Amino acid sequence: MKWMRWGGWLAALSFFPMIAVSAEKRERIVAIGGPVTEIVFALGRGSEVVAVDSSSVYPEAVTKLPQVGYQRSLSTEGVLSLRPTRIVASTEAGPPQVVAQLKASGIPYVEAPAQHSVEGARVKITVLAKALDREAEGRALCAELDRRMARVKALLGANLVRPKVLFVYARGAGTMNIAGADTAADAMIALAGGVNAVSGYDGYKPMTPEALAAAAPEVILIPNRGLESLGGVDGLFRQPGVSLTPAGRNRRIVALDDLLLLGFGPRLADAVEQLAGALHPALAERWVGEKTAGD
Amino acid sequence: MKSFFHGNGALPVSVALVLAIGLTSLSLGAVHMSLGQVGAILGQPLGIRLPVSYEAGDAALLWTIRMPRVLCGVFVGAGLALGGAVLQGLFRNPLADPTLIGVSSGAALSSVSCLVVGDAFLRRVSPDWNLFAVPLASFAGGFLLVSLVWRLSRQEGCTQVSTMLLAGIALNSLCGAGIGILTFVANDAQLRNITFWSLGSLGGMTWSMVGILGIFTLVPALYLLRQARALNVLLLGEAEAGHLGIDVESLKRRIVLSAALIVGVAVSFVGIIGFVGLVAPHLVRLWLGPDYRRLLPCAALIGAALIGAADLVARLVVVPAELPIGVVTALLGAPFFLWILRRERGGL
Amino acid sequence: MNHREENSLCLENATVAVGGKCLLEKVSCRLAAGEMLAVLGANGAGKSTLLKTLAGERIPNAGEVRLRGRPMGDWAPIELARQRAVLPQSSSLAFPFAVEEVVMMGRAPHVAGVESERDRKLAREAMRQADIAHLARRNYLTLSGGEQQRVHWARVLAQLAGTEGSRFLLLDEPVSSLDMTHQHRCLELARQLTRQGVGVLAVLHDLNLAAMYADRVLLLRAGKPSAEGTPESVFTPEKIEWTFDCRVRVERHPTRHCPLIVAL
Repeated sequence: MKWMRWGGWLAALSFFPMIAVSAEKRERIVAIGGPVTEIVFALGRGSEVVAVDSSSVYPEAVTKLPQVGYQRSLSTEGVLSLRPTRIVASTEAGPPQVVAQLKASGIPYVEAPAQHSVEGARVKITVLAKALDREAEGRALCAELDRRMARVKALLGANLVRPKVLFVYARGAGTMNIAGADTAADAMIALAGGVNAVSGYDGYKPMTPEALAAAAPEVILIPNRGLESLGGVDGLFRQPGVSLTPAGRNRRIVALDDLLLLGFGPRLADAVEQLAGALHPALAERWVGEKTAGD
Repeated sequence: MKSFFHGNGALPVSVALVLAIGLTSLSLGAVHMSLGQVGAILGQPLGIRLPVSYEAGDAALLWTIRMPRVLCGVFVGAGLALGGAVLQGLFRNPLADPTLIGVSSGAALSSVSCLVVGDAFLRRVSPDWNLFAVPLASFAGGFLLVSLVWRLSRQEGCTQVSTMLLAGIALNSLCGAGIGILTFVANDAQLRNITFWSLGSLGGMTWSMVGILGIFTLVPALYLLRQARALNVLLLGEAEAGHLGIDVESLKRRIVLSAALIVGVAVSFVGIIGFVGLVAPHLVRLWLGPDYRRLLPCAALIGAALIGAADLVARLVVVPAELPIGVVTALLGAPFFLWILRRERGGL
Repeated sequence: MNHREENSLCLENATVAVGGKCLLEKVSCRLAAGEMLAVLGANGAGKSTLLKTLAGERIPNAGEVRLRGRPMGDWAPIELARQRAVLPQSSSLAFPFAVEEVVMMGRAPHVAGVESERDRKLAREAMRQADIAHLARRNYLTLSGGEQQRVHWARVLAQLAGTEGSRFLLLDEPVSSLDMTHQHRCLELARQLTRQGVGVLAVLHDLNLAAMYADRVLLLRAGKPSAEGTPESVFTPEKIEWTFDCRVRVERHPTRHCPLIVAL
């Protein structure tokens, strides 16, 4: 009996906002995928988002919304219980049966492709802008993205010394992986004027001291959450082999927000600028000057 | 009352339990419906009108999402329990479970291959490729491994059950290694898919899956129920069963075939759900004794009830998200089972 | 087909080999309905192999087994089970059946659907004969080894009960785990069965039990018969020494007047 009361309470909770706003012609959007949610907010329709998945952690406002779980293990009923009028999702959403059911439910379902490139970010923005009837805003976001990416490219120039960057994906000391080619991290390093310290394989491979020595990275790039899971910068240096690399000797660690770094969403330009600044400290000063002048 | 509960009443009691859990599952979930509303929605196509109002959306949800899910749960639970019960008989070991003959690991290896290798090719064929490819690969893989285990255990025209057990163990670890290699080459997205597949889920079940699961579960189940007496005799030993007029080789082949079908189809649709195949027959044996004529129907129903209850918990604890059901069966099932074992020790 | 064949279980020139080792070499033996044949021999002489071959459990590499004149392979398993029962040396039943349920399994070849009242009556009678009626509702797994052996006795008795005509019972060391009272009681029961037309073959270790109860005795040595005939003709010091490599003296049983074998 207790369960039933609890269920009723939850249902009442999810009904409440619908009753409150039904007078205006607002939508109830469920956004799935970190970059997708960011784009919905950047397009100015963030206030209509009623729930997100667990990978959506930006902007701040989404952390207070109900969560429908991880994007790859959604529940049909869980999503439908939020009475969405529209579902916007990354193509990474799953499991496939659930996505098929959601598409069949009659609720408009918009899919934004997940690609790790500037073009990918542009496609994501354009697709969502069209679906959400914010095409002008979408064009503006894309133009801004292009402008800033062009500026970064110009600043980095052609005669740049490109540091060897190693991307470490960590979930605790036991699970540390290194990004090879064809990963979001690899693409980001290239955009920010670095070169991936490892090549020769696609995807992620476990990190070993030997692999570290062979890669000899000058900079280690690690997402914030990964660094936390190792116990901060000192924890990273305690991992076997790390202190022997040039990056370890010079203590060159760059830590950035996970979603910002790997999302390839509307903040792609921010991410590239921050990473490029960290990889090329000599340029950083000029950077800040020009940036303020430009804005 | 006690004798009714342990005697002829056991079957009606089990049926009532499944119905109760089924109805509760239909009523509870991220979207709340009262039992009255469920009754009204179910009665509507039968021409029964109840004075309870409900929303059209709720009716659609009940018919297209919850009902297939609950029915699939019933078939999967019954299938896993039956598979476990008959394999315990085949191996004459109450601790045997369906994984022993390699169904699950074969299914796991081929599903994971499909999720990793197939990902590259099949995506071009159809965007919804893994809707059909993974269950198909899983079923084929499970079956292939069972037949391999069976082949390896044949000696001079006879199947050595002990060799079968060892071959099963060896091939299980071989599959484990194969899965290990595949997870090593998998990318992050594929890795996540593998994890969620291997934890099992009843999410996303449709009526066509109900149909396939139903046929592949009911046909072998009916066959196995008819073999109850032969299964009893088999517990005496293979030679003894032969002396009592059982064609033991043919019976073993059919048991393995039925169990592989019934468990294979369950695993291919919902992933790996551990524990039910071991626990459901065990509980019923503690309750009603080892006679397969009473054990098989009740174990099937108790298996269905266990899956139903576990799925209910999986759906409710983190609304509107849900837990993988394999986690729930292990998390709730293991301590409960240990408690029963401690209480009933010696009764085995 | 002559009358002798019609009522017997025969082994003709049977050779059984496993992995190059010959377990039985050209053995012929005939078990007639209504007689009791004891098979004896040293460990590894091929007694159990002989029994398994006669039971149809093991197919001879050469030679033939015939039941009532028909080769073993021509009988359907269920037809065989209605006229031939086997008591194994030991059973590996590891599930908590009630004793009466185990005994009822003996009725399996005769029952199509649910057991009838007649089946239940025959099972009760078998339990009474095996002196386990008082254990009917006990959990089989909680019984002692000897009690379990008697449960299987009752099971094979139930299997052969209620059928007319010639039947055969093969006993593999039927008294090995029984106390003295029940040893005699069981063999006495076997003798009673012979009077109802059952041919009983018993693999025994105790020469004196064989001398007391068997109509005929077959001695095996290294897979070959070393002597066959009545207890009086077989149990001579020379034949026993040749078969068992053990020196004995043969006396006369004081009351039964059968041979009494004393080891020296």
